[in-house]
Amino acid sequence: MRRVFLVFFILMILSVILSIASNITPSVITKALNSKEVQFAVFLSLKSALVATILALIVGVPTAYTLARSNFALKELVDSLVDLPVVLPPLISGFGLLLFFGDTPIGKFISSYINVIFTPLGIIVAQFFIATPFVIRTVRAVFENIDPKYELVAMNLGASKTECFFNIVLPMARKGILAGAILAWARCMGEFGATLMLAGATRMRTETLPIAVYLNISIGNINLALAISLIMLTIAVLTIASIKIIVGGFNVGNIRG
Amino acid sequence: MLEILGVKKKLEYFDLQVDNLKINSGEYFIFLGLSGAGKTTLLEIIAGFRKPDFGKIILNGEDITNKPVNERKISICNEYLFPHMNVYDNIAYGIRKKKDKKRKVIELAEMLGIENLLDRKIDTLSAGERQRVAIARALAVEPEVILLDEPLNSLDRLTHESLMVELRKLNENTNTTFIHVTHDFIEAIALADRIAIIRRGKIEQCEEVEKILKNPKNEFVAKFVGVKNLLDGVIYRKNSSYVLDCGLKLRVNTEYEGKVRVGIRPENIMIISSENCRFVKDNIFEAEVVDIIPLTLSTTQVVLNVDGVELVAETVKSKILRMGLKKGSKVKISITDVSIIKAS
Repeated sequence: MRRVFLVFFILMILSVILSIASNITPSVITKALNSKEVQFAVFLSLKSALVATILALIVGVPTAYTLARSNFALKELVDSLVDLPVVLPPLISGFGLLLFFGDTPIGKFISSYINVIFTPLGIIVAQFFIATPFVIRTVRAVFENIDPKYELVAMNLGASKTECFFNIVLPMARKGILAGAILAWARCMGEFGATLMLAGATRMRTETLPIAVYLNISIGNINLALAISLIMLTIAVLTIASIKIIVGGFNVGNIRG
Repeated sequence: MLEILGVKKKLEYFDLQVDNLKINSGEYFIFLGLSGAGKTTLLEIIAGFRKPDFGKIILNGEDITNKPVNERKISICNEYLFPHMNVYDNIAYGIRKKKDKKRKVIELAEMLGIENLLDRKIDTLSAGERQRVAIARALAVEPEVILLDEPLNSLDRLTHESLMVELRKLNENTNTTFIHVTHDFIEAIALADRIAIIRRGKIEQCEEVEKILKNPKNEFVAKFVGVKNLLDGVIYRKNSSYVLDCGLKLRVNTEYEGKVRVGIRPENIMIISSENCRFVKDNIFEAEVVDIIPLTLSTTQVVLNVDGVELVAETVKSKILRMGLKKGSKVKISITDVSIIKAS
């Protein structure tokens, strides 16, 4: 009996995939791949997602370690704050970022040096804001699964705290961190709401893959939207496959959101 | 010398408390106790993994209670081998000088018989091989004190024996103080210069092995070190000697009079045969064999009924076969030694 629900949902996923794939002919694909707009969107998405993911790792990994290992007053509060961007609709996050950079003294000060509003830089900021909590969540769970005794033993053998982090904790967590990074990167590739608000949807300027789908559907260019959707579907499949290969499973920590 | 002075630590179910314990340089010292008695916590306090609530740890006159973990000359040997490194890198981890690394790792690996495992990943090693790697890794830093947390645990009998012999040798060949934690009293008797028996966070008795075996301070210690027969009795003076009446009347070497609890080790109840009858003169009784239970390949436990008192004796298996003993056999026994556990 329970299997009925499973079958129902599997069928639903398959029909979504088929609806996209069955409407595409090889000529649509070749045309799309040759179009300047699609090429621009693919490279912009790849670039911005990569940069945002690297930044998310630089900030997220040490944060995750701190949250996993130390206890301090208000930790619960800090925890909830870190989780907030995961639960908050990205559109609202983006709106908040827009208001911050455009309408607050600190934001305006920053904007006078690096302008992020309605620029490609805004894409990276928006993606970073959405991806970092993901990195923190996954990597933190990985760190929490590493017995702190390994670190104590390393220190017992003369290692400093920093050495310990770099040659014990990080290598032991490498698979989990890599999986977290891939998930965060996939999130960045698909980021739409926050990007739309902060970077805008300017054709050939802040046009990432999801924005390209949005722009083309709104002007009725269904074929191009379909081709880009197929590209994104392929990326999603590759993401799942690479995580399966790296960690032998999709359950990296407890991922919510 | 390592001194543990007035150390107290609140644990979940009881307090760990060591008032004054001195462990000499180069000594092989064993903490013996059941699991959950606080032994590992005590090791971790010595290593600096945990801070005591009160008290001091002093190493060679220097108070190291608050010294960082990585500056103490105390290394710990436990099951936490680094899983992402091979055997070589594990052993080499604590060696600071680059040019010494290779020579020292190979030297230690040869000493412990693991030189053929250096390229292996940790998860491909057997339990015994892991323990050897852990010992080598801890020795690599040339510590003043090495702390061994159940180093012979979960090993098969053969590996257990050979590693035990090697630990003894390592202790004799280095100036390192060995502090070893175990629940296995055979291990403790075989290795230790001194044993501290620990129960619910407190040291019940701390003495040389022979002394503990001969004079266990209380019933817990007596049972822990293998005394199987515990009896109540009274000691009184008769002429120039002392007699213990515990259902059986025994002559004992003591100058104590009054109510006592006594322990008789199973190997101190000798079954008299034609070969050894010339050597026994004292404390001889008639007994009936109630049960015969094999313990190991070579030793056997014999349950005896001696004038209504049930005693457990231990003897070699060959003797049982030679004398043709079975349930119901009548034998003569001699009780060669009695430990007096004074009423506490």
